[in-house]
Amino acid sequence: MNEIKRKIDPDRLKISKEKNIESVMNQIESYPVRAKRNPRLKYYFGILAVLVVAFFTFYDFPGSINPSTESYDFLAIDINPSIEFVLSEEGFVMSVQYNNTDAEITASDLDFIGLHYEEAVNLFIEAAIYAGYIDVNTTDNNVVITYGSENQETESKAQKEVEDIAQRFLEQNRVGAAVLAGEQVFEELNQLATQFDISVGKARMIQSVLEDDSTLNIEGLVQMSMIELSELISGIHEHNMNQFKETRLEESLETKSRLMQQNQATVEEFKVRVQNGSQEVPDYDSIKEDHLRNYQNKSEEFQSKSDALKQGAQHGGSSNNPQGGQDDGGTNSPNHSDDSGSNKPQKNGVFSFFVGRIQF
Amino acid sequence: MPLTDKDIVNNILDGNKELFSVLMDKYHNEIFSYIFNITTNYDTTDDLVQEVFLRVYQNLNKYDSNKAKFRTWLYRVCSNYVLNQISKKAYKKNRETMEYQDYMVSTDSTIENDLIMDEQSKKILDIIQSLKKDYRKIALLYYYAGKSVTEINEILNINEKTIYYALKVIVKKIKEEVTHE
Repeated sequence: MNEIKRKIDPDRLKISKEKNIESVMNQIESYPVRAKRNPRLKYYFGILAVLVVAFFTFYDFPGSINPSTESYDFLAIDINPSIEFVLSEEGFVMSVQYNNTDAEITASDLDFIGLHYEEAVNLFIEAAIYAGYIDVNTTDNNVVITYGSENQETESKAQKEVEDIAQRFLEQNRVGAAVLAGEQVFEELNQLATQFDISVGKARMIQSVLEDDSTLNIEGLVQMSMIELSELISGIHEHNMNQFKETRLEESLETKSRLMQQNQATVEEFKVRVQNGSQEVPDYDSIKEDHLRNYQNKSEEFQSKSDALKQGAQHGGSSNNPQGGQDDGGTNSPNHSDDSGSNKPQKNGVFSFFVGRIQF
Repeated sequence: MPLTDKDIVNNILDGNKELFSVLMDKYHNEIFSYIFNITTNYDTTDDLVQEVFLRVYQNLNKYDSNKAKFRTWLYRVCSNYVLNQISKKAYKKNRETMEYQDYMVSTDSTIENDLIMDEQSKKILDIIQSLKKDYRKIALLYYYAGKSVTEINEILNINEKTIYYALKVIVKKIKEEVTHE
């Protein structure tokens, strides 16, 4: 969208200019000129305002309602920028806390106050995408949502709702990301977060690390950034996966070795029986010949079926092509494989089949 | 050597009220153009321009030449005032009547094109008015005053990254609204 510029009649503009200047100058005749304000006054007024607010906030007026009885909910979003909202009972953002510099960079200029949490979540995620904290080119982004309320029922319902909002928003923007749920906030996580003065999301990650590796200590983990914690978790997961793979490989090798030993034993027994004369020496040449013949037949059978399938695909028909059926009874013609020379149209058929698939 | 804006402002504050006409003469047309792009009505624009300059005069003692250029500060005052005015119900109610009157007296042969353009512009203005306050200011300055992102950054004291982000959101919203129709 370009600048919206309207054509202004130059004569009309000239008239307006004269009229407006005259009008304003007439009006300001009656206004006294105000002297420059003393900048210090600003600070005095500021201090006075703080004192007045503090008085009305902390003074317990007789008959007043204790504000602490009001209930507020809490919503934390951790991507790497980590932000926390305090929500009113109706779900509107009342205050915002940026838990790290990334959040400040991403969202300090955005005005969340007064927004409903749905809007706030979308706005923050969009800002994170825009600022590059969510990589649209990968699918391994994580968004950790933690909703806390003193009301257990509200908490689990809202938690699910916010997760859905985030997931929907990410899907709409075609961003591959997993929305993860935070844990119960007001118990151990909240305690952990308060104790170390960190966000609940970070506390949750630390908890996750400790679950995987109990040899690490909390104090060390608290000092780590969210990225470092993510990498640590990712490293632990990779380590666990490698361990799992190694175990499976060892098991497979053991099985293979056991089977080989069994086969070896069977062969040895057979040799002993032949030596004892209790077993006739087989005609190895004949067995070998039978085996090769069988192999050739199977190979041709496979080739015929494959050709029939290709032809079926080319004509859009069933793969049970009668021609394939004829071929099934195929002779042992050595020239059969040369037929592939006449199969060019069939290759085209396969090509168009795949193209068709791609188009679908 | 001609007087700078700062000198003029200091002179006015010292009691030389007449010099305010110099400032008005200098900035009248661009402020008029900015407001006219939004209102599309000459009479309304005249009223708003007068109100803006009166406000500027009344608040001249708050202008700090160390913090911003006079033009920047002028646009800040103007944007705030115009934004408040066009958000008022009374303004919206009168808008259509005033536009109709304008067309009735217009002799321009391109009246049909203007009507279409105004209709689109009105829709966009409605969308802009549904945005958050800071976004509205950004949109007005960018689209109606033709200010660059750097200039908007100076006028509104909002960082450039946020302005780009806001413009992206605005364009997206306009696209969405247009698609819905």
